[in-house]
Amino acid sequence: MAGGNGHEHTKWVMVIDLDKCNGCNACVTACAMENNVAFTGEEENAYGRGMHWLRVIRYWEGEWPNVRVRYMPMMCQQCSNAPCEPVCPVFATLHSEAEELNIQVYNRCIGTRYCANNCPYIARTFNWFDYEWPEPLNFHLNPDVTVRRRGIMEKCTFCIQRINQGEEQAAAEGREVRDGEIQPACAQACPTEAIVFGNWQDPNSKVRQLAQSQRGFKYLHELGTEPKVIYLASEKHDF
Amino acid sequence: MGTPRSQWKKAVLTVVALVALGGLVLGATWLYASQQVPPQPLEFNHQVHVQQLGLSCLFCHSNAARGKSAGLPTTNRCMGCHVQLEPKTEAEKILREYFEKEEPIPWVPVAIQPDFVYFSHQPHVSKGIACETCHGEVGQYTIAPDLSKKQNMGWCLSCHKNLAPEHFTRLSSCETCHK
Amino acid sequence: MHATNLPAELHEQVEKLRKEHLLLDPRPREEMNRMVLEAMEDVNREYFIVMVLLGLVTLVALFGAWGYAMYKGLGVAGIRRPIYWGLFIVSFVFWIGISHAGTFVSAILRVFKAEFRRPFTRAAELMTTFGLAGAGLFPLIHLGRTWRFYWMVPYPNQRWLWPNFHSPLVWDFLAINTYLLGSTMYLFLPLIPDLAMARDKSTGWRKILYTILSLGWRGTEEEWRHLQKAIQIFAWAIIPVMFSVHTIVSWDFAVAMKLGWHSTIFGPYFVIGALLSGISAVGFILYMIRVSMKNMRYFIRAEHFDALGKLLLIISMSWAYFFFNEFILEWYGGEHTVKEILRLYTQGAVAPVWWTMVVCNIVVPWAVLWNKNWRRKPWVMALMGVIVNIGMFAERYVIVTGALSRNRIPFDWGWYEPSLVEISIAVGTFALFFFLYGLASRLIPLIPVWEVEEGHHAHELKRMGKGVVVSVAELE
Repeated sequence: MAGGNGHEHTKWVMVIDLDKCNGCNACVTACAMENNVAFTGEEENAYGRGMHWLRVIRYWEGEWPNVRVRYMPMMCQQCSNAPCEPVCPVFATLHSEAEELNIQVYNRCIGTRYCANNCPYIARTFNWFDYEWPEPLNFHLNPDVTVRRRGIMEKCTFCIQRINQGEEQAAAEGREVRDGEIQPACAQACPTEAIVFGNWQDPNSKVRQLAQSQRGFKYLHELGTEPKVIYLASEKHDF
Repeated sequence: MGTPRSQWKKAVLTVVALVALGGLVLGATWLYASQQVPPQPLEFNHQVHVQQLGLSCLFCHSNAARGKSAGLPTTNRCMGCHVQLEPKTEAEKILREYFEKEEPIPWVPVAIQPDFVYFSHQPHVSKGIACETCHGEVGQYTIAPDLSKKQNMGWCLSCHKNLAPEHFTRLSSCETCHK
Repeated sequence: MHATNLPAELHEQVEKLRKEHLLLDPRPREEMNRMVLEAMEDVNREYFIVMVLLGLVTLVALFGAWGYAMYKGLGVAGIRRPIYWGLFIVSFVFWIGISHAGTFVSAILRVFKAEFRRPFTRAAELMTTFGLAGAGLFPLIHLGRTWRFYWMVPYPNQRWLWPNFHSPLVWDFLAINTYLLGSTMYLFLPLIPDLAMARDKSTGWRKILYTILSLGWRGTEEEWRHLQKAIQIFAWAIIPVMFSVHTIVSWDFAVAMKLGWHSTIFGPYFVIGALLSGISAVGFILYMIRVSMKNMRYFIRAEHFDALGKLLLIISMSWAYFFFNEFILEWYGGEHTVKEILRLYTQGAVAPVWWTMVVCNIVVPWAVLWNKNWRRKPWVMALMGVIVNIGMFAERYVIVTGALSRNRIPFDWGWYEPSLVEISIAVGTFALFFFLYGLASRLIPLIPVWEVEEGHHAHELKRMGKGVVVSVAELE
């Protein structure tokens, strides 16, 4: 780990407990704040151009009045075998060998939108216009994250800026990253602690413990995408 | 008057010559413009401070060892020394004016990265990279030149590839600088 | 064979054959030259007005709207999550399809020595070049950041980055460029002798233009030998390129994980579809040439429309075969998202478009083209060109936007309607195509005179017993 290059030993994984999720959308808000996700306005959003990197999918079950609602936070699953990566003509979306994450390089993106078509999780959003942050909203912009312009694809990054900062911090202090030290914005904001983030390679990490639960499943795993988000649910959902 | 063929030749040659000349003039203008130092609110002289007085870079840009941005000294930091000096040059007078108005000096940054580049001084400084490696021999300048054109991606990569080959995966990974 | 040598009862038969077949109805080379040049130099008022109108439409509807889309962002198009590709990609595939006409008619028929191709090889090749010019714009138009398109070009750069050769879009980019270059050269080679002919017979700026373009052609034996060789090489070489282009376009869809796209049959299915739209468009263009240009009734005759009609019928049948295969296997697979997609096609909101496709590509051609009398009517073939191309446009629309609107997560199902900007750009490309074609029709000899003359020499009427038969000599 010394020298700040011990990332061969990290594999970032997220566990989302659907039994704990109450659909409050705090994660969506936190994500938008952390990652400079643009506000497209009511009309555009209704048209299907919301920029949310993380969205809470909602399904109703049963007939009124015996309805039940199910929530499922859905974001980029950081597939180990990602369908979006090979189709990009310019390597704007590619696998980071250092972090084992699926990264999106905004300034390389030319906007073919092929990656979005090929994503089975519909996790990607496109900058249809140049969106503006009217004052004073511009002051909340995170300086560590690029502000995207029109014509660029974007998606959840597992808050890569936080991961790197945590690692830099640990390297500067000459120690390993502690479990729970690095948290993406959604996990930090989740009031029920349904979202947990951590290092899979650490056998004592919380994610590792949780992921071994009988309730665990990976969404659309049959496609062979090898997602890094593990959902927990006591009933098997037929999403 | 020559044959139609020689007239053609002449016309083509003239056009080629004009285009070449235009290209040369444009190129020279661009080259000249790119060598100009940006105007600063006051003509801070790096040479005097670094070479003659022997100040270290971190004395004024103290955040470089700790954070992302190296930072520019506050007016107070300048006045820490200058308060004892009689303002003689134009620059010293302007400094005193800002100090008395209690306003920050609106410096024009010369080594600024675009929004899509993430750069942090701390890992570079802590690995012992000298300031001059990226910023040039600032101590020899009177006024710092604009580096934003020079510091492109290939320039970054030339070090990231060669300085630490064992960390190449990490140092060449896109998300290291673009997030 | 001269009519004077014939007994009277055969005379009538010979006249009939002459009237029917261009290649049995020789005219002196000088006269054919004159006819072609007259058609080319005929720039009248109507032509001028039409061209100005087409030019304006191109400028405003295509480039104006494109500029607007670039300036504002792609949000001006109707696309939205999850339908990230819309009318631009539909038009792209459509125009690539049109561009298959020229190569097929010209190269494949040349390789197989189909004699009826002679008068209209060039007319078809021009469709390839200009179809590709239209098609080539769309991958640029549809980019979110068009101004960065050159990042798809492999060139050494200070970023140390290359394009991703895994991506079908890079294959596309390379295939289209190869095809554009190859087909332009293939268009140009047989044009050289005709340009030299035009050079010898024209004056003023045309003289200068043709002097440059004809590359000093003198028509010596050796030059002819080289030219024939080069044409042969290109005719053979361009055929695999043509197949590869549309196959690779189909891979844009087929290699994706998208249900409704992920089909192994897409390669040949798309190639046949391209030929269907291309060949039918040749019929339309030949009709336009015949009615709008001088002296073309001599060169383009009912026999040519008849031959195209037969070809079109066969291709329509092949297309139906692939279509059936594709549909039935998807349906049989029973994957529930695919079933939903097929339901959307046949009964859902996309159904009007889907059924238009079936009617225009299968029902109408089969109902019309079996009849020789209809095939021989130029206006019927022109109408077939329009109808089949509507059908093929519908096919691409269904595949691109229909499949995208249904995916594995029902929460994210969507619906697409093209916006005004998209429609304007799509229409503008048609104007661009006809504008370029109109321009070319007055700038280069549209009929390859030397090829027709060659055909005249190759064909002979021979008396055999009580009748006459056609004998064809192998010249190439």
